[in-house]
Amino acid sequence: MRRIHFVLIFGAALWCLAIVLPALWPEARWLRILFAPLCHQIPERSFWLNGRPLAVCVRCSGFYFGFLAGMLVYARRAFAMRSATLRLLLVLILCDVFNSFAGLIPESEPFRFASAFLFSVFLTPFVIQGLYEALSDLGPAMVNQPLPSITRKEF
Amino acid sequence: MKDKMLTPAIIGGIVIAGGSSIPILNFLNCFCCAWVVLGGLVASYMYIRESPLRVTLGDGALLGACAALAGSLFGTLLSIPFKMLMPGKTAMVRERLESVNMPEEVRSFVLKLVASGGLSVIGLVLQFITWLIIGLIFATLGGIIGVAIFEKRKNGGVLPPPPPPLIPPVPPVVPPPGM
Repeated sequence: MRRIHFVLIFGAALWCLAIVLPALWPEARWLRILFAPLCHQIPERSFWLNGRPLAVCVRCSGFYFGFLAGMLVYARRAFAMRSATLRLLLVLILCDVFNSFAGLIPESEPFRFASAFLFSVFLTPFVIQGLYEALSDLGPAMVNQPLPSITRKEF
Repeated sequence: MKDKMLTPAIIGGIVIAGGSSIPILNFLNCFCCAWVVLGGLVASYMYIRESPLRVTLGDGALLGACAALAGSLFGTLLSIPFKMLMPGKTAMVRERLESVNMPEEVRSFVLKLVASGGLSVIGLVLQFITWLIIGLIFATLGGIIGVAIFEKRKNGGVLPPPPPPLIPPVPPVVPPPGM
């Protein structure tokens, strides 16, 4: 496995563990403070585990767990970069954000989680490619293997 | 860092710092650090608009990282007047810290920082480092998302014509008549 990919999976796994841990272990409640600048942490808008809310809301959980899932899937089998799908998912997320303020249609937690989760999964190949290119620009010693050949599709 | 990256990175940094520091506006950061992601996105959008060549995802990542660096610097500086003007925020932080179950050493250290109004050198350095870590994660992602969304050129783009030479061409030496 490439070094950057391993670092990303390890980092994402630690991040997701820090989200789940305050719900599983009461002594780790202070970890919630770390996520306070990043998320509103409203309990009604969060997943609950073991009778306690996770450290971030449903949408943020979707982003972070989606990124971890994307990295794990990508490690098993590389998939193409799809710009149009990414744009479509971003529009869906923005519509949902707008709806949560405007209240046009009833809010749906599964939709909120799924749109964020899929956005992160489809973002994964872009992030890997982007970090490889950026680190290769900084110096060839930063990457121990050549750039992966990720295909780019319009949709 | 490539040519012409500096201006977009600074503007991205201003978006990050301005949005995250100004009260009420900074509420948007509760949406997955939206101002920080937006800063990286703005930087890559501006760079794509100016660049005659196709911008790579690596450029987007670098732009986001540079915007994060600029944003942390501006944000730390901009937070000083807001901290002086809004002392009530420190009381809120103290109240919140006391309600949370955390190691006593960590709590007393943070409370000491809060008691100094957050304006101590250590407080500002810690704030800069926190901004930088958050910025490097989210603004870099923003830069990559910006390139993924806004860069639609499939080939390498079109290079502008080369500028005219600064030194005028030397006319050929013609021997005078009669030689």
